[in-house]
Amino acid sequence: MKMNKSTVRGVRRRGISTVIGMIIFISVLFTAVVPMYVNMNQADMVYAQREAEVKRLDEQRSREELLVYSYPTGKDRPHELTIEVFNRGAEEVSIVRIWFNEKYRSLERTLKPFENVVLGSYDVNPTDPGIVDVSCTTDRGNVFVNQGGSLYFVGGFWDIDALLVNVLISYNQNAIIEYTLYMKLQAKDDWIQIEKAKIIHKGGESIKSFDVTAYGSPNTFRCVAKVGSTVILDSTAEMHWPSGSNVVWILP
Amino acid sequence: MYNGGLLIFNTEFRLRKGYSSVISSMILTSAVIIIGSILWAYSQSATVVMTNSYVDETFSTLNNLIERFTIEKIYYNDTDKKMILYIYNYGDISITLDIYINSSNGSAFSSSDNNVDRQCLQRIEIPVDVSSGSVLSIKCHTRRSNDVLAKYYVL
Repeated sequence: MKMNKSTVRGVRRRGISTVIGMIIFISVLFTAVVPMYVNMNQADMVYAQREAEVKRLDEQRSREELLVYSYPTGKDRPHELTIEVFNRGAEEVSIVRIWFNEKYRSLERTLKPFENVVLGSYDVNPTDPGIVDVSCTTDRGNVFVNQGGSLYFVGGFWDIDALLVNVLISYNQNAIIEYTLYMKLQAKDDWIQIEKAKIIHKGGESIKSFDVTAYGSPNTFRCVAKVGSTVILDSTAEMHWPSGSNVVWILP
Repeated sequence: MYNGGLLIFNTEFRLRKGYSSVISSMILTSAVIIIGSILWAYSQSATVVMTNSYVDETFSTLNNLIERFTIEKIYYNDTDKKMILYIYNYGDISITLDIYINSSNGSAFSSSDNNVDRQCLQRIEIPVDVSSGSVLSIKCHTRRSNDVLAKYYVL
């Protein structure tokens, strides 16, 4: 009878430590392990988010395409250069600085895709004789140099290396492209052929550059590009140097 | 008297009979609580240390990953015999740069502890004495171990 009582009491008390142990285990789980897991998870989330942001920034940076043109403002302002920019890319581009040799001007100008803007006229105070290199920096850290190369200031006048017509072709197959460049005869209002070239195109985009210094400026140029007998490009561009850039683009 | 004494002893024994099991239960429970508390405190501190270590390492790796800068402009000032670099930090965290310049004629120059704040352009001047025609290899090394390289031809 006594043995039975003792056994019953022993059975009754035997689970207390187990219960307390379980309570401690659960409290450890909820006060230490779960916060650790939550904090680690949050750190991972922040990491993944920032990594994605940086990847996006890098992609946007690589897609930035800015064409910078620089040309004399006018004969009445011989020390000034006009800066014109064309955003050829599909991304918005913010220009933060314009460099004239070792000096820069800060600005904030955002260009939408395919927007062409004259940023303004800048007194660059050139030495005579001297060279002026122009470039623009974007907020994503890209530096785009003047399409026409260096500008030379000699005897109070601006000069350049060459007049160029750049033809951009976008064609998604491998092909031999035949370019024919024409110039407009002002007197007859007729086109005369001045250059011809055949280029092996390996898909995507390609640029063919024509040196038209010998034909002078202002002038109007027309380029016809063919694959076999198929015309893939027929466009014109006007060159207005020295009151415009010495480089013009013929785009599809 | 003898019988009476035995009776008293038996009665006292019976009165005290439950104490040992209560005490042993209390000792056992106390032991469980103490060991459990130590375990809880240890696990708490261990997880805090582990969490801090993990978070620090993650953010350190992240900072290394998100560092972005470029050498925006380089030129050599022949009069002052100085190399002038404009470093543009277009990232979201400030950087500390060590710059190393090696010339094609074998001479080497450096500049340490150059801080560039986020979204800022920093002008850095480094005393460099090189002759015309030298080719300079420029290496900008951040304290987070990112590099940007450039070459400069001295005219």
